[in-house]
Amino acid sequence: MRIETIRIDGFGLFTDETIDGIPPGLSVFFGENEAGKTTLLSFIRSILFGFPTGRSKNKYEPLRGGDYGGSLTLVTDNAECFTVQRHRPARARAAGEVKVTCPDGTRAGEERLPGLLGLVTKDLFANVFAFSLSELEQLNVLEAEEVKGVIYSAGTGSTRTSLPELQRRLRGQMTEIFRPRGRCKTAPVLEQLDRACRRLRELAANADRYDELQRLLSNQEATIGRTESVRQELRLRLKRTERLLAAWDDWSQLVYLREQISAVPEVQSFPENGLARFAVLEQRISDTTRRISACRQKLDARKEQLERICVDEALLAQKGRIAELQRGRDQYDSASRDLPLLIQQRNQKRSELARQLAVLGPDWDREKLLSFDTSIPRRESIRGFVERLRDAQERERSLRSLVDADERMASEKQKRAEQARKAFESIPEPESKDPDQIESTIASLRQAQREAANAFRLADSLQKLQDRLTDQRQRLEEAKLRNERFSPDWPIWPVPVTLAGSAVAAYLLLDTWASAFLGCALAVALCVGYLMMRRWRVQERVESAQRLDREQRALLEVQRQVAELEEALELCKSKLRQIKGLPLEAQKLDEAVLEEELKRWEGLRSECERWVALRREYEQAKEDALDAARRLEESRARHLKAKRALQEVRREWASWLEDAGLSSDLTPEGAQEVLSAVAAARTIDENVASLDQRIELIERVVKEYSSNVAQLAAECNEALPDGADAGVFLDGLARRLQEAVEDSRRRSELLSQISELQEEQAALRSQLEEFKSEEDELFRAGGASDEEEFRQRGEWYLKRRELERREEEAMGRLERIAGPGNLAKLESSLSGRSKEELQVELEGLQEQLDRLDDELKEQLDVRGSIRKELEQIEADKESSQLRQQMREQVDKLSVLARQWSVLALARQVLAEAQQRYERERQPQVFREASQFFTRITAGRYERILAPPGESTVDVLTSQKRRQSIEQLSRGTLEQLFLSVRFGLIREVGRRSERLPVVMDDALVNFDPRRARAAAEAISQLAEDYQVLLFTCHPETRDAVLQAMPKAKVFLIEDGRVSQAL
Amino acid sequence: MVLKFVHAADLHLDSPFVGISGTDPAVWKMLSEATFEAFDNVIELCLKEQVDFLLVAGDVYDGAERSLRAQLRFRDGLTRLAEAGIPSYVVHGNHDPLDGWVSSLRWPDSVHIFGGSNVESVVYRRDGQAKAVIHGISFARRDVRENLALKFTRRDAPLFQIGLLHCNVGSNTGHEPYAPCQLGDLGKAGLDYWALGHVHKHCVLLDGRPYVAYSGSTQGRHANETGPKGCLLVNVDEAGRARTEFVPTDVVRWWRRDFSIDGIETEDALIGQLEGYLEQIQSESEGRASVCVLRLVGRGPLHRVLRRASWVDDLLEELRRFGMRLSPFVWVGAIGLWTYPEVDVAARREKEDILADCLRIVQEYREDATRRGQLGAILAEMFGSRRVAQHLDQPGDEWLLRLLDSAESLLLDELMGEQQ
Repeated sequence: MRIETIRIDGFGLFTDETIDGIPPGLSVFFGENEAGKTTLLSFIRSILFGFPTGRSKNKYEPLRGGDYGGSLTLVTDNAECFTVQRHRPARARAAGEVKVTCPDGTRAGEERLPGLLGLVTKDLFANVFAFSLSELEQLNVLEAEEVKGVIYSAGTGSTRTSLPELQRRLRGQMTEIFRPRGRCKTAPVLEQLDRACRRLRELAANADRYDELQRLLSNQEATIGRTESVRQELRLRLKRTERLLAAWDDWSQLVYLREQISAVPEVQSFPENGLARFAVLEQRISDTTRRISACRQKLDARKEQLERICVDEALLAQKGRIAELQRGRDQYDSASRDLPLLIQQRNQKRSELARQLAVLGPDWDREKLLSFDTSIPRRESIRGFVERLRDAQERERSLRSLVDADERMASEKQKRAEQARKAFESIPEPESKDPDQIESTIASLRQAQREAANAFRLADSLQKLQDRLTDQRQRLEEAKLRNERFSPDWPIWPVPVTLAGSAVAAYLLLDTWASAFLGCALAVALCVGYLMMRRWRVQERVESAQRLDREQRALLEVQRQVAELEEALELCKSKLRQIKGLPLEAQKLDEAVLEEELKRWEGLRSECERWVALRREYEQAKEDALDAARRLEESRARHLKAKRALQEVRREWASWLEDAGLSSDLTPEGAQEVLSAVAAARTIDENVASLDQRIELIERVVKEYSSNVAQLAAECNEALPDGADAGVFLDGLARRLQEAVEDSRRRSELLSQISELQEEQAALRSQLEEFKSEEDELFRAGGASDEEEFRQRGEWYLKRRELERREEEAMGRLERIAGPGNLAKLESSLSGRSKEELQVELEGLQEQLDRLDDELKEQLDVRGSIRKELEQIEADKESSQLRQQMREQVDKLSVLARQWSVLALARQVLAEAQQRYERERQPQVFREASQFFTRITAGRYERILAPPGESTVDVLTSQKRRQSIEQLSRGTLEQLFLSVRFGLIREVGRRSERLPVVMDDALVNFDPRRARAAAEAISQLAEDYQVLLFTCHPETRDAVLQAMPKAKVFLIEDGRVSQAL
Repeated sequence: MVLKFVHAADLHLDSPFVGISGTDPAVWKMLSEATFEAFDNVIELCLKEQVDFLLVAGDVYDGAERSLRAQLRFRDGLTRLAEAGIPSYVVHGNHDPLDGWVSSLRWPDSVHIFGGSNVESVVYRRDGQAKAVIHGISFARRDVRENLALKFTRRDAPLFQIGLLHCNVGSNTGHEPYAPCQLGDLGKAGLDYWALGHVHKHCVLLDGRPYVAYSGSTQGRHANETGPKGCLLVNVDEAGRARTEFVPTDVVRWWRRDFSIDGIETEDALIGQLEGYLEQIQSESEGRASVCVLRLVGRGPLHRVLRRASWVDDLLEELRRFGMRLSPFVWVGAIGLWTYPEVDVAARREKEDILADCLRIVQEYREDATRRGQLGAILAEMFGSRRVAQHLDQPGDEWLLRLLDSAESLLLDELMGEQQ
């Protein structure tokens, strides 16, 4: 890329300055101090990368007015032309606003710049491409990140990673993971491992303890076994002594019982339960004797009672009949009670019947009542009459009201027809009564109006065109006149004639050469003037002819338009004439007349419409009135018919009444009531008859019952007194019959009791005999002759038996204590020992046993604690957990060790690579820089060496001596850095756009020889790059021009730039 | 059926699990009980199948110190068998040699523990009638390099004869060559069945006369012990032919898998794959809990993401959460990161820059074992430290090769920079 034009609107001391024609190769900008060289350098940087901002000391704001900023016209390596314009309007950001004009004329903003500038950044540009002495002197050019990127990107592939930095980082990560002492990731892991190891060792001691405990446990168990066997023996002895003590009481009782037994005489045999049985027999004998005497007393009492009872046998014989009559008693009682009541009812009903007959009418008696027909057909025919009469009356009434309504309607309609007639006759008859004709006339008038308007417009246009036509003709005339003025052409011949003439005259006047020359000059001037005039005229003529032609064409156009308009107007008029049905003459057809006529016809239309409406209304009213009168007539006829039907029904009714033998003034409803009254009277009559029957029946029952009772009384040897109530009499008989029955029952009962008592007495006596013989038998069995002896013997027998039983019991208990078969042994153990002795022995044993129990308990406790400790050790999971923890920590440690090892190996590999790189390969940048450097220093230095990744370089002298940059002089150092920059510029250029190089007095510290050599190097660079070299030193300028004579020189003077001659 | 017995080995009771860290309490509890429960499963199998006896072919305990807890649990298990009238025959192996601490435990009478000086022969009797002879020898010390198999000889009796031995048959077992022997040595003894221990993966070395088998360990304990673990149920017919059935006893199953990041574009896609794998494990573990160790390998765009600090830790945490939600759970023990940037390393090595130099140097180390040996000196800074050396093995050659791969990857990452 190169800069073609620099346009400064306002920047530092530059205002409105344009530098153009900057060539692609080398340009020298020469100017004294403060002429504006550095400002220009800064301008170029600013336009491409932004105005100085923030902390920059000099922002180069315009000192002499003008907008801050300007533009650069750039031509890329692809020969495309861009203009980059940067200004800073108010409120814009400090770096300014950018407009890029692209080759196709489109505009873009700042975003277009990176694409244009490739990978060159602001810093890289300032450090490498557009630098002044101050930047050149700076050592840190190699430290700038971008610069490093350029230097080592070729070397490391593409990264911007600094190798020393990477080495440091890897080392840092390694120490983070592991260091022998101090904090690192490994430290806590190792600590935990140590702790776990220690704890595991401690726990291992538990294993020994476990074995010891096992030993202790078995010892303890042996001790416990011994104690338990001693204890067992003691317990046995104790049990024995306890047994002797327990047996002691029974044994002493046994001894006593044995003494007792020997004291009682022995009775060999005695009946089983002899004494008891004797007592029972005694008791039974006395009981039986007592019961016999009681039985005799009862027998006597019964016999006496029997003698006192006597029974009425005659009455007993009539028991059946009396019972039968008593069953009929209820019927008799109710009949004699009901009879008077029924008679009273019958009388009431009879008088009620008489009253009902009176209601029906004086001529009504029982015979008529019974013969009167009240059948359902008859009732139905009355109901038929009721309905028919009602219907006929209702019909007649409704028709009459209809007639009234129709009469009112007819008179109303009549009145309305009269009014309509008057209204219709009050208006005059219109001029025309045909609305259709009026409508068509109005339509014609409207069309005529439209056509007339159209014709008027056309006529107007025609008039205007005719005016233009006249104008146009006039202008054509004028043009013709003008055209004629220019013809014909002026001839050419006067020119050679005049020239020839003047030549001849000059020749003649040769002696006076001055006047001849003057004359000739005059002639030439004349000729020239003539020729110019002639040329002007020719031009004028051509123009005039063109104008004339234009005017003629315009005239023709206007004429054509006039003809068209006239034709249209004629067409319009003929259309107007063709309109039919106009009430006017065609000649009078102008707009005003048409308007007036239209209005008149519209008036006529509304008049006609009103007349027609009124006529229609009148006819309608007339028709309505006639209609109403017709309807009234019809109503009247219908009413008359209904009236006649009503009269017919009434007549039929009267004849029906007569047939029925009823009063002729009865209405059908009245007749219905008569029918109901007859039915009621008949019911009452039936009641009376049934009451008569019942009374007769009851009287018969009463009489029959009384005769039966009287007959019974006679049979029982009694008489029914006259007038006495048969029922009451019967009750007396029945009572006496009851008494007779009771007496008879008691007599038979006493008889049976007497016979039972006699039987019982006999049985008791035989029992007594049995008991006595049994008693004698008992005495014999007991070996006694009498009762007293029997009792004595019995007592002895019992006592001995009791003692023997107790002896046996005592022996049984002792045997239980001693165990089966050991009784004799027990008795021998007991004999000769006192209870007290045994007691003392027992207490002694108990004491020994208690002591032994305590010992055993202690021993068991010891065993329990040993077992518990063993269980604890057995249940211990800590060592498992510790081992798992350790395992995990070792895993962790191994992961960390792996990470560490990877880092260590990577670091090792990197270090080796770095050495190899330095040894075997230098970055391209330094190789090229070396060439420049060797050239500038005239071969004094051979090579620039770049330790990879370090921000410094060493140099190798021609004697192969390596020197660090600190050992170089200032000038050499600047030459070195200039060379490095050239290397960098070439490196960037290979991979990106080749930006212009701007150097501001970079060679000041160079000696003349090296300055020349540097100039040559610069001119070499300028073959591929645009180089703008700013200098204030004439020798630098000259050196450069000497190296490259084609170079263009610009002068900078007080904010002005001009191209040097 | 003439004889029916269970052949188990390598119980490694109460041994820690390797290669997992930051364990969840629930997982921890299960893992700490896993070896015991696996042994309990062996006992249950014996009881259920009503076998004649149980053979344990060494490495009952993990360490020579023989955790007391382990001894007690072992005794309790054998006591249960004794109570059911099932005798047990036990030899000790290199992990639990006889010179290790033995607690003064009382063993049931029907438990026979073979001594370490000579091959002992014990006759198994059922209802008073001799049915089989079991020959066995324990490791007297850990480091037995003697061929113990040569000491076995058949007793002159027409009974089924079994050799019970902890040994390394052949040379490529992947296990330490303790009591080394060849299959032929076993054949020469003239026995009918060799119940072997030491190799943790179940395998039948010879199916015939004799029948030679490793039952494998009863419970996997690290990522190298994947797949079902258990014991052998052996049936011997009238003709003296043995038939074995492998019965899984493990309560936690180990899984290991490498995941290539080749072609995986997004983190979500990777996580999706990993979660899918966990679900697959869960469905294939036959109702057991599982522990898996994942390795991310290969080259791909995802490498850059994975290398971000704590990304893998976060991934591990997320996968663990996911796995613990499954039932039974799948615990992700660790995620190894062995991925490379998406670079053609061979091509990159051919360039002329510092990275290429690095790659070439790595390659030189790979190819030159002698040079590689010198790297030990660099690693000695850490591995030479007494405290570290106490717990970690010195770096072996294979390990160094793997480290070089990682170092190469690291250098690629660092030196390729953002632009890759």
